[in-house]
Amino acid sequence: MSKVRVRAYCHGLGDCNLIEVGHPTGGASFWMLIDCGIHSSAKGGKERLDKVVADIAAQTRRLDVIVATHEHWDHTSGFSTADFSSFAVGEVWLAWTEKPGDEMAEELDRFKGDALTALTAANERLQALAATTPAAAALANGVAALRGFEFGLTGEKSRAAREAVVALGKGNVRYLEPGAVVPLPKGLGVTAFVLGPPRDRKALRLRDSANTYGIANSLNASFALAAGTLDTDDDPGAPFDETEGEPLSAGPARRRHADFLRDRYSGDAVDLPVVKAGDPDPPQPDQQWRRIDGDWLGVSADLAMQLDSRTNNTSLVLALDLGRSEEVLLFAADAQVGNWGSWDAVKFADGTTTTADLLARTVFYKVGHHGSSNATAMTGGLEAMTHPALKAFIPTDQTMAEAVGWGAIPAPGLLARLTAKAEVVRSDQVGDALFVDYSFG
Amino acid sequence: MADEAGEAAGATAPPEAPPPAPPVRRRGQRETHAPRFRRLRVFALDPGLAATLSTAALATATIEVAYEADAHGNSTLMPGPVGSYLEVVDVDPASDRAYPPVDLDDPRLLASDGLTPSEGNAQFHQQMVYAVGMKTIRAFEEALGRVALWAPRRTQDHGRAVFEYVPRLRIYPHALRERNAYYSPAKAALLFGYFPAAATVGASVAGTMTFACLSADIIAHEMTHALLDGVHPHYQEPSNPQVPAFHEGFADIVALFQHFTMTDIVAASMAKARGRIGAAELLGGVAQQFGEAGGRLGALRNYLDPETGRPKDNPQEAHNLGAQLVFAVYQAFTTIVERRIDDLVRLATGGTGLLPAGELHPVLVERLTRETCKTASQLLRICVRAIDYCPPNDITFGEYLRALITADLDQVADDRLGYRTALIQAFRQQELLPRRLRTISVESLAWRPPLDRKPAWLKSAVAKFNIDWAVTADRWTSYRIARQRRIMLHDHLAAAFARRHGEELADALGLDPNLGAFDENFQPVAGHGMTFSVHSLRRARRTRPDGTPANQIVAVIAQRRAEPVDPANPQGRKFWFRGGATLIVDPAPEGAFPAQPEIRYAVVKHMLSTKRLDAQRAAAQVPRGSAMRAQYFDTEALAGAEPFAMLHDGEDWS
Repeated sequence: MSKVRVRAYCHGLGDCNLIEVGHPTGGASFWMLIDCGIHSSAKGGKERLDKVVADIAAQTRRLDVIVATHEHWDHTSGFSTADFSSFAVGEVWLAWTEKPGDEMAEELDRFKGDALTALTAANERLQALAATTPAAAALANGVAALRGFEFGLTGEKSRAAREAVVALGKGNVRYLEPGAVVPLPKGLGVTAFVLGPPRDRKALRLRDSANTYGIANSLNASFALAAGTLDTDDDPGAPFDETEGEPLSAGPARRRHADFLRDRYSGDAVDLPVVKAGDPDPPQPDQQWRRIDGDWLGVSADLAMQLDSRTNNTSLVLALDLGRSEEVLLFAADAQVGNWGSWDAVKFADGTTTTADLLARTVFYKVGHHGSSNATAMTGGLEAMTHPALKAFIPTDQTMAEAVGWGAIPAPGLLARLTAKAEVVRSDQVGDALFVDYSFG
Repeated sequence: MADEAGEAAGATAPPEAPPPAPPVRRRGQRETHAPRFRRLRVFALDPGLAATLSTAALATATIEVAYEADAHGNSTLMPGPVGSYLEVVDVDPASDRAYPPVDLDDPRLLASDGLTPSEGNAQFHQQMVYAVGMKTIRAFEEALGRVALWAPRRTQDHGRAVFEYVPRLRIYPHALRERNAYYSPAKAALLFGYFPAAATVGASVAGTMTFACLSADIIAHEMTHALLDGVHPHYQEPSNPQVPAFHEGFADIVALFQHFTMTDIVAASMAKARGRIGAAELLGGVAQQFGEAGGRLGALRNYLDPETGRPKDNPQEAHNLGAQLVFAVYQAFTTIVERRIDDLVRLATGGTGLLPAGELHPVLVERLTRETCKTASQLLRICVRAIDYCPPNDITFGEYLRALITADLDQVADDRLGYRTALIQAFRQQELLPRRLRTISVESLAWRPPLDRKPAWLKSAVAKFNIDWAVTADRWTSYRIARQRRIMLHDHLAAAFARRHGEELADALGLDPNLGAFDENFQPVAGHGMTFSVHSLRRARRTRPDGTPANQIVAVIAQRRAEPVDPANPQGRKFWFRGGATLIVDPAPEGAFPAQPEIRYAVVKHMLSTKRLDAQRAAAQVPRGSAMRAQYFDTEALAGAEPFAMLHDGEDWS
């Protein structure tokens, strides 16, 4: 029977897990790497990840399978910034959502592209507004930190990292669908079951109609209007056709309209009450505090969260069934509700295995999305993991999360439940250790 | 409204006194008086009705709003429209457009009740937000018996709190490209969004533009947030989960009952539902088009659906929790309507109560409509008036029920039509009754007077107020005078606290006699004795249904104390713990001469309540907004500026 070792790296807010499946009769081990990345807000992240890759190289020069679970920088940055050229790579596995030519995958790619373009432009404007009010600063910080899942420090896109990992496969790339059953090479007795991402427009929040128009397109149209590269008549997000109204930034041509805007919006307020001594604080002529120049950008917070959770939901979720020991290792990447909720209905290609059975046999759970509250389902998820020897590993960094203003990573409620059910290790509470090793089988 | 004077809930003075007659130029010449109302056309509910053949005829309506005029009867409404209450400023930064202001005094518009309702005409949008906004203000002023004032702008000047008078609420009809609309206290403005419909559902076609500012429900809802904030500024603070929920629910209550001023729609709905108000779908939901454009069938919130009253998902979220309050009030309403129309149905059916098949007789429909609309207008009046009977802060639904019962009791001595019983029953079914009451009845629910009803300080303060009940001043004057009277009452009270039994008086008003002052940054300020504020002093000029005047003074006396969210970390984040009392004062009870002002009710939130402090501390630990938003954004900072803006989640939008 194969001995299986999981080396879970503790390098910060990001995932990197190396799995060694020992050969039962003394042949070469089988090596699988699931993700290699760190969030761009982590200080010295690239250097720490280089250490991780050096550690991998010290153990093996061959990676039979590299898995890139989803297109987020904290899961893939290493493929872009670290040196993988010395590894012999067998196969690269990705979710079907990354497959070129797949209609739904391309639709997702388009959404992600549009959203990133919009958030990049919005971020620029929000940073400029951040100094004006605490609320503007909160908005700007939140959007910037969410962008950190998409971009590296110097602006490298997680798309580039995805392309880099595909290139490592040299043509041996698998795009996995839910329900797929992939036996590892003969004799190891280990089988990979694919639970997600779901092939379900609803779960992935894809729109039902080409006529509909999301926040990203709406924001991008606004930016194009401001840049002068789009006409109101061609702006599908415009409320009226071009005959209504006049340009705001250039100032209305009609004198009466311009005077109105000066008196009621951009200049000093007019017809204020006459004030006598002893009166309460009167209104000030300065009415700048009532302007709404940036309020429409508030929706970029919604878009940033949409992009984040939709991308998280494209996570490739793998359950590794260790065979004779009946143990299962669950790598849930950053799957959120839309992904978790679909597992129950997955029909596995072997015709016998069920999700409930895999969860009940799970002995190792790589906790979803750094321990945030919306990336571990309770009913049908954690509560279904009933194995008494359950171990949970949380790749997280509370200090960094707090530094960038995130609340509740890891989430106290989830931590409490995990601690009650499993032996929990948090990657940010292992001192200087670069990794934690687990043995199974 | 005017012809209903003397009906059960009573009539009140018009918001603005009719301007004095112009000087007589020549003896015997007839004067042309300024009109009382300006007639304006609007979408009755929203443009969605126009898209369906069966409802197209009901899609638009003409409503009457106050004719804003000077002392000579000349219109003071300016292009925008910019009047004395509202200023519509139609800039659209996301589209880089500004839409020229509509001039409702244009003779062509005067002759045609304003612009024709149209989704494609920005100036009509301006007309509609102004018209529905003014109508909502009138509903408040009629119920409260005084002019409506906006919450002042709160700023700081070298640590001193500045309360800047806000003459007009600003309305931006096209502020946002999103499925949202909100009241911004920080800008003293309503911001409306527009968005393309997400799906083809009901009357909504995917991709077509949907405007929040064309939904009468949404306008009334957002206006109500602003009007309530003008009365109770501390209801912005989520000191318990029911406070933000009350803001949302109350705004829906006002929006819902406004449906019943559109008699054509009520008649058509009553005919279709065959007299069963509980089946009249158009009437019992808010923001139909907005809901459908978001991709769901039917209204944004449907108060005929029992699930609205008992939401399965996220029942503690402010809108969902508030919906449970609205559901109770709407249940009470339908119960009362059914009772009131029962005799009509019996008369029309020879006593059987069994309506024949086929269409109802138009005369019956007309009478059913009249009863229904009258009930709605009376209930709305009670619901709005009740906010004068609410505590100064930290409201709960149970307390709102007590306010409703007391307000109604003050107005109508006998409950012949069963309004109070119906309200209590509906709140009981919704499990929203106040806690710690041994029995549930009108008597036990009504607020109590304090032990000393006729204190000396009150008599001298009220005498000094020198209120001329016959005159309604303009709004700036009202604001100024109210502030002067607040200072007077403060001085009288401070003197009374300093005298013998001062501590007992403080206790009766929910105050802590040993509490000093704090600056705006939660820091104690040394060298102050007992510190409190008279943070509101409102007068209400009302008339009972029997014609007797029922003037009232509502005084709010309050204190605040800085408290750390985490007691173990006294230097960490802090919140204001507030307390005090709302006093309902009858300035001249019958049978006493000279007048002997009397405190009829004291609604107390005690400063020394540790239970309340614990509850508020627990509430402060729950992040504002959704869990996902709170994970990535500093929602305290976001909500600090825009407490009403976080309407939905990132994923709820599409």
